[in-house]
Amino acid sequence: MYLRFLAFFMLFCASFQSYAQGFSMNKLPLSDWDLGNWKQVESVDNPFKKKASFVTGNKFLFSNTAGKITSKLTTADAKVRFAFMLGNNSEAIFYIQGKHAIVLSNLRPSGTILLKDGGIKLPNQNAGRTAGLWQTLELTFSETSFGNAITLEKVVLNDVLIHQGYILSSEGKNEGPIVFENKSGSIAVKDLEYLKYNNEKPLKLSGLSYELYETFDWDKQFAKKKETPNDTGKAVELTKDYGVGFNRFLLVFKGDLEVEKDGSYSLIADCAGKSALTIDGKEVLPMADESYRKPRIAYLDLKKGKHSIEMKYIKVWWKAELGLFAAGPEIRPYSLHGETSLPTPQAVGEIDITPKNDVEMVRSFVMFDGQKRTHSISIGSPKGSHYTYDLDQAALLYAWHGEFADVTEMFHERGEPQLLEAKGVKTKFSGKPSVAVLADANAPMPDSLDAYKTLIFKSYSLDNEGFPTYKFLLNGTEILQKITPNIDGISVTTSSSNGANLYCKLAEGKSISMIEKGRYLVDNQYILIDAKAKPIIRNSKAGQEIIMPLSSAVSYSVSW
Amino acid sequence: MKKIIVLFLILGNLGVFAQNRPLVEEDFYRIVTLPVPEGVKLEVGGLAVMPDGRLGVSTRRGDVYLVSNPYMKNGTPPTYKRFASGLHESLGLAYIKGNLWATQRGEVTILKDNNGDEIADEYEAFQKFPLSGNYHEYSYGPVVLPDNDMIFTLNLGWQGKGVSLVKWRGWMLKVSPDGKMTPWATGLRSPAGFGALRNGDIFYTENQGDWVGSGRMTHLEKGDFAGNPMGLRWTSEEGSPLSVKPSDVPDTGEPLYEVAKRFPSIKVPAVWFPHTLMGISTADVIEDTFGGKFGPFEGQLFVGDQGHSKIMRVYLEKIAGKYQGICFPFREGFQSGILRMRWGLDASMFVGMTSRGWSSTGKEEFGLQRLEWTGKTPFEMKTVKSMSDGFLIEFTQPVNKETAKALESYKINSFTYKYHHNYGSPTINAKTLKIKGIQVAEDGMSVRLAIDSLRLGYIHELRLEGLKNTDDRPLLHTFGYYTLNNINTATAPLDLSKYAVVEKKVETMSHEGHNMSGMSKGANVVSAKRINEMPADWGGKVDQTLSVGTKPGLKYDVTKFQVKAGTKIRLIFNNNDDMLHNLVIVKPKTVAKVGEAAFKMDLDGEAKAYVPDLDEVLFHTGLMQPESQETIYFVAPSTPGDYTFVCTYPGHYTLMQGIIKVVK
Repeated sequence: MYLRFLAFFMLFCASFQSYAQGFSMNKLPLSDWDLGNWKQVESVDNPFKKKASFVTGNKFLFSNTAGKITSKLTTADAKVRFAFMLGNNSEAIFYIQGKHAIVLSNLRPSGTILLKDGGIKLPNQNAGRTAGLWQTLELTFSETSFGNAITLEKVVLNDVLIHQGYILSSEGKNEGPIVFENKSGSIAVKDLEYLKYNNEKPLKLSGLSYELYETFDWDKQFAKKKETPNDTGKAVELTKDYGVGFNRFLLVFKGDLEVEKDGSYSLIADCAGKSALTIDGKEVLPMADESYRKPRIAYLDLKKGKHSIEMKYIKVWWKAELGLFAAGPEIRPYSLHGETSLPTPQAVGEIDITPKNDVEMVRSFVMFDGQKRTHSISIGSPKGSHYTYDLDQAALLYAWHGEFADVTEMFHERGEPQLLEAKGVKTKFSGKPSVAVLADANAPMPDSLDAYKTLIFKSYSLDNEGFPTYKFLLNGTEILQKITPNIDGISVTTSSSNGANLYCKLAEGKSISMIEKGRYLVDNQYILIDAKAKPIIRNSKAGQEIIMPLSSAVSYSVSW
Repeated sequence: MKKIIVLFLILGNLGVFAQNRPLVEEDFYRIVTLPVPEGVKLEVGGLAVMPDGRLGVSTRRGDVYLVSNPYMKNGTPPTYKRFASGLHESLGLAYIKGNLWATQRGEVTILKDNNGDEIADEYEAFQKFPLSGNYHEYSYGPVVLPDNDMIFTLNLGWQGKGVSLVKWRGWMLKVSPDGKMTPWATGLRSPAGFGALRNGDIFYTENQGDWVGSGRMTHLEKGDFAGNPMGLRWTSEEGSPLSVKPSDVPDTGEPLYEVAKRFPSIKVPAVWFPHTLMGISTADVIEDTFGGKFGPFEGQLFVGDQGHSKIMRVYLEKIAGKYQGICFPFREGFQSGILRMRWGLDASMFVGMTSRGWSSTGKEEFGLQRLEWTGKTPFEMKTVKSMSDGFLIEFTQPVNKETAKALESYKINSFTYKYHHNYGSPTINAKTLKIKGIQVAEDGMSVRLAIDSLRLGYIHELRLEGLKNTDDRPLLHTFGYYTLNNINTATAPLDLSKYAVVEKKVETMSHEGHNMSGMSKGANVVSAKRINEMPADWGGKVDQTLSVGTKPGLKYDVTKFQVKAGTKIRLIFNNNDDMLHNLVIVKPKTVAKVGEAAFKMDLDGEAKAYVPDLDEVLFHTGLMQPESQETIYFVAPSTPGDYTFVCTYPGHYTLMQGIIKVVK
């Protein structure tokens, strides 16, 4: 019963659309642009660098004067994804179909849509990153069924959904190039990829027949009750309805999958129960454990012509729901099953926590690198910066701007995952202990410490604003760590009154570079340290790290 | 003037009415609801009564509220102040030496308010519990013992069965005020309710589940193993007071008491709460220490039930040095699922509730209520004590001696459960017992019964339907379940030469050899309203097939069908839940009547699949075991209307319903 419930829940975690995204996208080469006054460059300096400049080359696009760049590619119904980086006080506009304008800016929220009438549509939240950091924007848009408009199906900025199902009125042909216009400051653009969707349905089923078997229940692994089918016949369509009259059954459909042209395709099985899919005698989706509406996807390269297909479906305790979709890189999933075979599943409304006037704290499980951190606390600040911290390891896990927390998976029904999800634009940390006792400054920092013997969490005290200072005993030495969210990011101060050979880890990443005195770029986040301090930057197992001896206090801040 | 006369007339009538109407629980124990401010999700996990008149409440959402004026003595509503927040599903709260102590999943936290603004500003970790990240790893406590040590319990995780994935899951832990932890006892599955008697003896309640045939209450002494083997995984760890290994535990399906004879490491429960006959998910347990201020049950225990939103009463006695006793119904009708009960300062009982994720009879998602004694004494079995040849039943009021002497006033059954890895158990080896002798005390305050074939380890159902008090009123609750682990051989047997009863042959014969495990399959229920084969004159064709399964939380998976009047219907009911269910189709707007009638069938009900013999019942299935299915055939009623289909298994009918809409 509990497992069944979990499966219900999983539905909301694995949205169907995301399964259609596994195809690699088409890259738009630099040669496919009308450059205007933009430049092709090899690299650009971080804007915080004194006398920031660039090196011409052929890696990506860059502009530091007002002007447009236009793609030779035109799109109508498409997905577009790219990375961009803004300079200080910069703003650019990104156009789809040459006319629908979306702001890329650090002067106002990136993702703001500029409407034709001069109005604006703000994003759900400001999910932009700070100057000098690479950001990603992904848009999916399509023509509306009612004409004279396009639908912005989804706009995702830095992995945050900022628009959904937004309709933009439009005149004339809904097709046009991709355009970037630099309005002020500087902008770099790279890795533009796209998929142009079409309405073709090159895969279809034909010559279907079905066999219906009554089956045993779970205790006998839903095995057939007898080897001869209870019913067989020609199937007009792929549908659960051939099982009517039995509470446990196996339906086996056999027939042809007709393919109009060679290509990469996917077949997506979306069922309540168990299913398996075989193409040309090869099982591409094996019979998995029973689940409620967790779509499974098989990627296939198929030649033009007829291919044999066999789909097995076993109804278990849920109502029969049987769906099979086809999709291609540039073909949205469309159903191969009968209209009534797959009802829309019931979705759950989101449960959020929003700090209004007070700081919000939430202890929960938090997923980090595929593992649950079980003794975590997340702090939400009315100032708009938030973080998650592992109380077992004195380790920052995430910090983010924008909205605070989605706690649906904690408080809907039993809350089986017990996971808190950050809602805003996030930066990730190493998740490793921030303090350790080292023999000397060359000894490596530990990846983890024993939370019951070595690093013992003692308490947190709240200041007047409600921000906690954490207290630990590290090998018996008291360590205090205060983390304060502010408008720009978070500040961290670690202190200890005594204790020898104490070291703090400030950051770890694949690579670390000093932009200017006191400002370090750690992968895609900035670490800011007092310009007079002498941090040690050294190689570590994961790449590079910044550490400092902790004699009385070590302070730094993070922005992203 | 006229108005006043009318008023007098009405009052007069009310007076007469009040004397004649049957007395109900509410006449003796009153439920007072504490209003909760809009927006506050008071899913109660812990309650702590504070000496300054406030009540601390911790919630599953992680907040701790201070409730001022919770007794509402001046008629004004209480006020709520959020004292602490962000705790990870806090299911325990206690007020210890000036501070609130809250237990969250992975930590026991002392909440300190250092600046006096009634908001905690220091969260001090007193004790940390390892977690695997499984949602079912709940942590409960603290309960403070008379010596100031504290006890905590740790729920098993759930992965299709109970599992102990990290240390001390499935255990009770004892922690001294300076933080020294001692593993105390294991064998626990879902130990949400526990408490200590005044003398320091510790009891915990267990929920039906794997290895647990039915809800029960066990006295936990150091090193005890209460039955679920998962926690035994940690017995080789430092500090473990026992060394039994999970693989040592027999999994034979025999009654737990029988297994314990061969395998004495198992601690047998002091009291069983028969599943659905008493409750379905036991919760907190507290002792009445108020010397009569809460009514006539001083020294007895009250045990909550989450799923049935009710409180049961337990009388314990010690025979051969071991606790055992009887449970009775006490008070039902609470607003949500009861998790916590704590005594208020005024001898009333605070009851904290939540039903999120686990449905309850009380329909609210959460709630906080107070139970107070009205000052009137209910006519109840006050105690039932083991005697060498039967039981001594003591009453709260003198009995009508005629009814007390009559054999027909009593029915005694006994039964037990299987001990195995499966979830729950059917009742097994049920037997109706013969009453040999009845002695009514001179003062009418007790009755001594001599009974044939008492069975050790069995639950003995005492049903006193016909008994009246001297006001000719029946017992408020007519039955109880005594768990007979030991017989009090120190008592003298009843003198049957004086008190033997005249046997009524027909009565006893018909009950001889009843076997509950056979009956529970439901296949034995023969009824014209239950046709499992397609009638021959249908010519092998049905007009419509209806398929119904179940969903967690006492629900059918389909709740609406439409059929044409007079058509031939095949209905397949698949009980894919982990509980027993049936499916009964009743006439429009009669579901409450049928459901109530089924509930009153009690122990006999199982034999009849809990289908009452009423005209309102049109068609029905048998009582279905988990993971079983049945097909019934019937002709849809000729009168259009909304016909309810309902599970009449006790406790289910208010929730588990659907409609068959019959149309022309």
